[in-house]
Amino acid sequence: MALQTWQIILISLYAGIAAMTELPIMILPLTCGMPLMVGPIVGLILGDLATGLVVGMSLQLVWLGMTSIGGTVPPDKVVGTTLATALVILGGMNYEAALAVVLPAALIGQALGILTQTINSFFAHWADRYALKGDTGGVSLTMWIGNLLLFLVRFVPVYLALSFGMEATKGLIANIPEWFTNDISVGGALLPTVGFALLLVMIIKREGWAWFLIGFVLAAVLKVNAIAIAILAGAAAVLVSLPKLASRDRS
Amino acid sequence: MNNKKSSTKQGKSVTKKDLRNLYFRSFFLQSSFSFERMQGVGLTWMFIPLIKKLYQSVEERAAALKRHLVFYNTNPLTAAIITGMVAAMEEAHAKGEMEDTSAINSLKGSLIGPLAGIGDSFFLIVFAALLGIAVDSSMQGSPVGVIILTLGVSLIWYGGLWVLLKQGYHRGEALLEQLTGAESSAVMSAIGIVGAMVVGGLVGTWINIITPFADGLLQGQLDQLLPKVLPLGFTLLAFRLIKKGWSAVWVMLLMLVIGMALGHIGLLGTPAG
Repeated sequence: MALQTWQIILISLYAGIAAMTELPIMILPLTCGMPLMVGPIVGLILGDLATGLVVGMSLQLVWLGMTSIGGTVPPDKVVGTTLATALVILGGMNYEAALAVVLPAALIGQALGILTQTINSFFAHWADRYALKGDTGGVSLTMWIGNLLLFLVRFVPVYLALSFGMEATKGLIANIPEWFTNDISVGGALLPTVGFALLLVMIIKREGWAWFLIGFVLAAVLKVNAIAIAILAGAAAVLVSLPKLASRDRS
Repeated sequence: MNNKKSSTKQGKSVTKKDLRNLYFRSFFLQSSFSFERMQGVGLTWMFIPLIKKLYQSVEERAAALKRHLVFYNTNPLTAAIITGMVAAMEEAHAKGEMEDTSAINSLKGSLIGPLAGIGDSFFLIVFAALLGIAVDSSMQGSPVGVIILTLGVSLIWYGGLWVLLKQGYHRGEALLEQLTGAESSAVMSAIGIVGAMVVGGLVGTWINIITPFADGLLQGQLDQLLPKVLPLGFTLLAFRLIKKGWSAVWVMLLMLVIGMALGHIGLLGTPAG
């Protein structure tokens, strides 16, 4: 299947806009910038929603803990997810291999993100000069230029990669020996461990490990599904927290 | 906050319309994000209409713009509390009830850290708790889970932002006390339990790594010991490395190399292949 021009433009536009839901403009639902949403949207544009959902969620698990906390720039999940989804749907790549292949693209996106935030520091000084004159319009202008830059830094790479990179990459994928695809799939299958680990570092305090293990055993050994685990977890949370609150009220 | 009780100027008041304006502009907080000022430019832009309303002279406006064009970085959701409190302080200053504006920036400086901590971990834990449902349905090719997750996150984001902004303006100090009080820490630990259990479930379900060694005989042995022990082990390894200070990208590269090497010699594999 060849890419149509309108598909390339739509996907690139979405990549630019999606990246903006984390930085700089958070007016769309926050999930719009996450792989779990970017995947299905790209899938929808390419006519394969189901594959988009699977690729998006697989990448979501890898990217779980990588949010831009404290102003750090994580590997670019939007550029990564966009290209991975396109490669799987158009190039017939298996998605575990796509997870691994897409890492370089995400790292390039990260480098561009760091560059933009550095350039934006200059615009901030520009804003200072307008501020001295009490020029509110001038301050707004510098903000919009900075935002435009943050949009372009996602839009342009995705547009170029889809326009000129896809055919070549598809040719490459067709020529990759099967053993290599298998090996890299095993590597890709291990990547979600990093996402889970990052998340655990951020959300688990001491006794949290007990709850983590309970959840693990419920799923792995007893094959309890996710909704049932969430319900059990909610019940446990109520049982544990209510007495704590009550005892504090009394004292 | 009240350096001078007697009103020297007839300043305008912050109305509900102004708060609504601040609410919509809050979505632009991370605008023109830079390493140097981070959310400083976005915050200034948020306050421009209010600055224009409260201050008429060029000098006053310039001072207000300069005041906010400094480093600022916090969680975009809990930031609304600071936004509300700053609106109240700017109003007090314009009315002449608060002469010294340095209190505005010292309030911002002292709150961005603690509020970022509360906001970031709250949001992440809620997200983890909701994610469990979404993973199942997405992997089966259904968008239902993603839609539910989006609705849940949106409710907190769009609704929470308005509530915190309004409360921050009307009763900022009391709200801060509540957020750091016993009630909120009990709620946080409750959500923490849900988050930890759901992530445990995800690790036990969605990492597809097995050992095809000896035609699956070894995997059979492992399954009798503890199913999914390999995913658990590799997750704990990644956890250890990150705790030791490895960056996520290096851990990812290491996992990739481990997977490819052990996959090549037939020690590790994926269930399908």
